[in-house]
Amino acid sequence: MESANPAPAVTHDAGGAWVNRDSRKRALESLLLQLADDDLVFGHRSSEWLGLAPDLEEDIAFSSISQDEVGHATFYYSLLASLTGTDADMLAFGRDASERLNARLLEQENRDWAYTIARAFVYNAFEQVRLEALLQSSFEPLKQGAEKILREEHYHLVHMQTWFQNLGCSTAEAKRRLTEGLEQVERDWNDMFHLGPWEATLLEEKILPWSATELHRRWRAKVKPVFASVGTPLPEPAMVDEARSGRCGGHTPSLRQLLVTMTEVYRSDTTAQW
Amino acid sequence: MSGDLEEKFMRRIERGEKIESTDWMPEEYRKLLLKQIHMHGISEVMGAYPEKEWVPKAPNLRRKLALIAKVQDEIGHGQLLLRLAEDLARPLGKRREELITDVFMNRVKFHNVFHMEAPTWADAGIIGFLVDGGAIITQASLLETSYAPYARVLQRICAEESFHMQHGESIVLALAQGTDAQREMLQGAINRWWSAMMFFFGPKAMSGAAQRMMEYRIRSKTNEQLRQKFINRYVPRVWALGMTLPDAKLKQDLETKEWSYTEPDWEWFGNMVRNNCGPKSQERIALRREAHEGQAWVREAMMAVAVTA
Amino acid sequence: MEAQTNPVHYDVYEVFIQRDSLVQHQHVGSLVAPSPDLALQLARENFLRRDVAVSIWVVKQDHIHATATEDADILANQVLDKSYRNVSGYSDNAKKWKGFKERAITIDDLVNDMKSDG
Repeated sequence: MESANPAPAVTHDAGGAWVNRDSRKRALESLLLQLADDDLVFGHRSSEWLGLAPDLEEDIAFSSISQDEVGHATFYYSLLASLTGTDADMLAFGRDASERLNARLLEQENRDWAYTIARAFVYNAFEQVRLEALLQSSFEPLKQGAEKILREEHYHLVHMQTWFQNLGCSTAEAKRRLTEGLEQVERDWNDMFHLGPWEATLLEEKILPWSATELHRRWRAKVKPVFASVGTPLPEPAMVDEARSGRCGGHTPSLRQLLVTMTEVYRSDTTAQW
Repeated sequence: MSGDLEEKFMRRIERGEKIESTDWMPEEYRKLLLKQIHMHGISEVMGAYPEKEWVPKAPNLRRKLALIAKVQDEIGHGQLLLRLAEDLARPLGKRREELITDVFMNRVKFHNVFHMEAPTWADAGIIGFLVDGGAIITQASLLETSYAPYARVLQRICAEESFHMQHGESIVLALAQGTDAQREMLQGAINRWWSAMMFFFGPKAMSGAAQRMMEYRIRSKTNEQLRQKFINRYVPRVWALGMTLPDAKLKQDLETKEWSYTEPDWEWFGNMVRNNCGPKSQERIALRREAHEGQAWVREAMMAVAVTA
Repeated sequence: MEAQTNPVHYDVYEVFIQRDSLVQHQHVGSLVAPSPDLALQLARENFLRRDVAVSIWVVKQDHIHATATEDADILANQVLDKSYRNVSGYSDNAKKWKGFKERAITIDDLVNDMKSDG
């Protein structure tokens, strides 16, 4: 999963130049965009469940989780904005699909509740591991942010794991749906574990202490017992080429559709105050 | 004798005593309360649908977050109110399942406003400004209700609504101070929602049930009193923003302070609410139905786990 | 259009929140949930979105025993004068101490003593 010659994964955004070509900065920007884009896209998909969850109490709990994710995205966009002299909303709303660095898994449409839980559990466990890595980051603002975000994320993982295990240990229908949901998740999850073309720099600069391989290994250790508890195997991810990696701007039509909706009002006048 | 119990109960009401869920109450009181609170709770839940349409399209991160939080609160209010309704309905054999399915069985009504379209971002703002304003006025008038659990829940609801007011006003103010296109969008939304707000408070002549609710002190203000309070607060504000209202008759009598206004189309709105045939009624009911029936498998699964645990 | 033949009904849990360790849990409302575990998780966002707290309790509604509110007299123990067991019953101490050129000590005095060194 390492890359030798990083191809430029991030292009210019309108109105904010990537002035400094220093590779540490480029690596950091790439990582911040991965973190931010992951949480924004995932938070956006999660918020689509408003009013549609299986019961009212869960609707309320789940929408707190989606707020948290969008809130975390806001933190990462704001941090990146302060480094590059641009603004968080422009980063969130002003970039097209080929500039986005989120994992492809997260842009997929919601499907049923079982798929949603399968995806949320898998992603939340990955976030946990990635945030634990950031606790050792040489980039202080990111390290401090990670400490706070990790505390909020704890509830997400507990809640999603509870749902995952409950669905996986109950009726035949729930088990079938969870299995099908997981199969779908597994088809799309491969690039989630990647760190993109700047991985080597991220490690050299100690922005992250662990490689993508190590992140994946730790994530496996975390989810394996949970998968086992519902009697489901945990497959190895497949290799992914850059063209099909969200970390390199390779996305599915689902993201393009998501962005059309998400940026509709924003694009009607990008200079207006809303 | 039931007659004695009823007399004792009415004296409690007249003394201003508060009634709890476990107290003896006349069947009529229970049924009127249940109808009121059930409708209130379902209106909160159904009210989430026009607003949630704007969450995916909110134009910046802060608005996106605030709108998710607001919709969450509305569902939260629905939850609080339905819990009250469930406790009241328990002796009648109805629980959460029935109170929800009543929506698509056309057995419970919900406020007209939630049958309407919300085609622009300005509609999201106007819902938070005018619709919530109307709801808050109604809720504030119910704080003195004789049914204590309702009074307690209304306190909590009112506290959360204060954020909704600020949020709605914030969107509306940004549009009013914005570009020509934004101001036009705002005016369009105001034009769309105004007569729905006149209907919102109900007819001047109160129904028999509404009268009985006043006697039981479940409510204390008439429909017209609430509508007048709404007009008095919101019309000057809308005018102050440089917006117009689609009613040439709107005028305050300087002596009586009463506002005159054009009556809404009672027939049209009434039909919409009774028969769920507004522009968006069926679509939104279908969403609720899918969330509930379509996901019965989830609830069954969760109960199956509980049993084997 | 028919209702489900076997509708699922979650249990009702009453929710109690403790805001900090120096105050008792307070009843804030109720919710329906399929298990105590989920009741706790759901209670957090249903009732504590805007507040800080240190503990949540959930209790099945059926397990709550309560006095009947209509029976006002069952709690009528503040009817006759019971100032003999309240501070208010000893308001003449202060005047008597004055006669001895001292003032009465209050509980606050003794508690505040603990706040200073020595």
